[in-house]
Amino acid sequence: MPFLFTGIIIRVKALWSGRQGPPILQPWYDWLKLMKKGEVASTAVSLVFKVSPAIVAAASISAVLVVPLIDGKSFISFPGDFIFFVSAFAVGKYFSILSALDTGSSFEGIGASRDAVYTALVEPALMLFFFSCLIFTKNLTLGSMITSISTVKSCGMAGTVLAAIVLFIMMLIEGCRVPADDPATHLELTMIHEAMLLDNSGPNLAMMVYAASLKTMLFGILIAKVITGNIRGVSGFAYFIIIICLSAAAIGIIESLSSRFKMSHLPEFSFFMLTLSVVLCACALLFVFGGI
Amino acid sequence: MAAMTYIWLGLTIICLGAIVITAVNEKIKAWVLFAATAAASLLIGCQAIKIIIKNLSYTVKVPFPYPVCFINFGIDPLSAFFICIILGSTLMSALYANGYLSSYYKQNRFIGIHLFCCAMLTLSMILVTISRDIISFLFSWELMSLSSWGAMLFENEKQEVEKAGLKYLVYMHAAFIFLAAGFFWVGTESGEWSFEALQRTWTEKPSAAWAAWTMLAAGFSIKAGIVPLHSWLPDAHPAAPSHVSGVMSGVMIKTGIYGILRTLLWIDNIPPAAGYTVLFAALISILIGVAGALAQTDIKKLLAYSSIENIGIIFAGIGCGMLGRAYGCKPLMVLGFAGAFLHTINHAIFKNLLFQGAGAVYISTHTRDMERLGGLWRIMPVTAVCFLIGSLAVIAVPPLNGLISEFCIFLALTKTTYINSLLCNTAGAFGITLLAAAGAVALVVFSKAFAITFLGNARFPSHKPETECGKPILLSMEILCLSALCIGTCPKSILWLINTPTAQLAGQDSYLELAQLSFSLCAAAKAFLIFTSVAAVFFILHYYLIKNKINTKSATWGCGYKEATARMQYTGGSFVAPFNFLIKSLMRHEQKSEQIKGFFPEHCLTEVKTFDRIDYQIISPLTALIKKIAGWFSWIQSGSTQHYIGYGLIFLVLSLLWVIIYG
Repeated sequence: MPFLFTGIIIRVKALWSGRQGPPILQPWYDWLKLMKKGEVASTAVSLVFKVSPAIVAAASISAVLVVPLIDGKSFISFPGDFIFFVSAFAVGKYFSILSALDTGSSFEGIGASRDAVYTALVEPALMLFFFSCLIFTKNLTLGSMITSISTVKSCGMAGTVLAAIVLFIMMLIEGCRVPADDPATHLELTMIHEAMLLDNSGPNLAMMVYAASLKTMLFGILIAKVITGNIRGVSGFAYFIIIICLSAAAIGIIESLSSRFKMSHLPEFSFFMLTLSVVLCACALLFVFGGI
Repeated sequence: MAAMTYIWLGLTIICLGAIVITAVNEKIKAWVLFAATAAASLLIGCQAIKIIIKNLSYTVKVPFPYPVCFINFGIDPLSAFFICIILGSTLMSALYANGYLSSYYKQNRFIGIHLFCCAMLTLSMILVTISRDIISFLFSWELMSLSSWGAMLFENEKQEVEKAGLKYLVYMHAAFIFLAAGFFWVGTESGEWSFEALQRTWTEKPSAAWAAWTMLAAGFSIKAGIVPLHSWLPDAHPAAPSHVSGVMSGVMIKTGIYGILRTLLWIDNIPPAAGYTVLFAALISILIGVAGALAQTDIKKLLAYSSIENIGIIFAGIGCGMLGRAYGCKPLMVLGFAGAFLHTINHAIFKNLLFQGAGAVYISTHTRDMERLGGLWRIMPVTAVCFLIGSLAVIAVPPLNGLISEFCIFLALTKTTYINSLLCNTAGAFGITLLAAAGAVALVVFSKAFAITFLGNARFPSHKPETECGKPILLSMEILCLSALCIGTCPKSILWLINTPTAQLAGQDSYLELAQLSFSLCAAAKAFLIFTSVAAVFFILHYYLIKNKINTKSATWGCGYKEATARMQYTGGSFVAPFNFLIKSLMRHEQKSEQIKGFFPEHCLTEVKTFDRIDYQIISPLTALIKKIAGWFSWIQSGSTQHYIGYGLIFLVLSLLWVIIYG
């Protein structure tokens, strides 16, 4: 399923530039090929490197567990599960940074340190987004929180659009898409996420790639949930799928229209996203206390 | 009354143990300390747990000569909670000390005096929590400061240790002055010096009481390490031996927290301004603590700044609790105080573990500088795994205990939306953003701390350790790891510890919110278990996938460069370089570098120094000014006996004149 998401992005990019492009399921075929291969392990690595891919993949899957998928229901739901959501991302990020530094390679060190800054800016923005949702609802489960912005009577539409933009930029940053990071570049000095995967091979690499695609799609799911809100049933599910595909297509279009920002502009881009989420929270507060 | 008898018995055992330590052979001194602490833990710990479970409280009056007449001691769930943490931490640290000090035997060091001070430290910390009187509290506080100073100065042939010790002593006595001023202010208003009398005065004369509270809070904040009063922490913790650092960071700082909570018990009406001040101070500490940790290359200094950050998190919980009491919002109050208590326990466990790991590294490699280490996992795998688990606990990720307490504090901050005040909601939004940002930066700090020290290849082969550490060191670290994992996967194991203390602070009808918290945390623990099992399944799957394939080993990908050396690995300073915007604004950053000359440069130098901005730009000029002003009067101390007799004569004449003129 996450490979379909990545496949749509690649297909849209190809079609935009006038090519036929690979089949939509190509990432899935690549993943299968990786799973059948053996591994080349570095002599410098320790047990941390060997367990990291399993932990990173498990972290992405655990984050999916608390997100509502069909009919507003998620696999697990309890008050405060949005904190678990954010910390699941954190543990995945921690182990991917550790496995990058474990290899003793400078390239992976560069990728790890750059990636760390973006996490440091995405996490507070995500928490601020959740806090904005909480201003409108007293229910602390992720499912009811995400859908709360669209239910607000007068400025629900504006709030939803703003929240969707914030989540979209987060998707670009955390999913390592242009303009935050170029997944297709193979120049080590310009890689960020790809640099952290340099020494992974075979099934290890397959698990890391799966975790990355799942994380990107997860933000797509969040956007879809924010926009569709409380619409249930078959039509709700249909809207859900359509918006996920549309967000994938949007990523593809943005990737075709822009190039990766200069390294010095990337923290500014992340701060821009943080500012947008501050604006979202301020609007939510003004709505509740100022009576807009 | 029997409870207090057991406690006196336990304290007497520690005293006896301290005296025995000075008499026995060098090699068994540390075992005597461990045995005494273990016996005292059994006696006192059982009583403390009984008091927490049954929500009891006792007071006892000890007769004292005129004019004080009585000194009050007592124990209630709040004191019992802190006693449990103190005993647990000091027990583990006493076990660890056996292994740590074994490398210092036969060097003619004063190990007996050092361990005597450690025992006195345990004794005084317990006395602080059971004092119910200004006299006993101040006496035990001073004993705690002096014994921790004595325990800190183990390697005092080093100048930096002596300087750190002096700085620590001065700060602790500044704290004592604040505490004495605050206590005696309220004490003279009330006439009596017991804590019950202080509580009565607080309700009768609130304005004087709040001025005194500011003094008391300042004194307790110096001990706890809240910015801007924190400058002693980053110097004292690296200077002390690791078992003392672990105890200082794990429980001694918490006595400051205990003091603030004790004063909160006396106050009925807390104005929202007090809550906002505490929350604001907490958020500043979190920010500066984590930014300071980012800039350090000394492992223990990094851990000291991380302690400042975690104390900020505990204070954030207390601030939320105070705001809840001010606005009358039950969920906010309960979750705030419960979060503070939970984080106190969890921090005591994982910070002790991290300091013990850092100490193990220091003993084996004789350096604390991370930039000189690397690849330690090959020779010290158990220490590496323990340090990894400690790091995971600090950054608050599943399945460990750090997430349990940060979960509670995040929930507390979200409850600010229940209150109908724009200021409160904004404070909550600000708090939650800063806490999440600090959590993410802490992730970077501890990935640097673990990866640069333990992973990769050794940067300077001269600092390679020879073997793994001794059994006592490993055993105590493993016990702490197990407790961290245990609390993370089964939060019910400590939730029973915090129920009654939280009820004491938030009101006896807070059990409903505590039950809801318990429900959330247990559900979260189930999610952690799912995470761990999925990871385990993937790991086993991975093993079977590569079993029958062709797997090779080769050097790390070097982009065609064949001569990669260990020095070419990423350093800690480069790893946190993208965060320089944060470091430069909060700390003072000085960089000196030589220009690279020519196409094949032979030699180049870059030096980066970070100073604590508050220490460098506020406190050091202040102490220099005080020294200058005191210097103007140095002529009084001329050293000549005739002058001193002359001073006495002048004083006699002046007092005679006074009596004659004013009768």
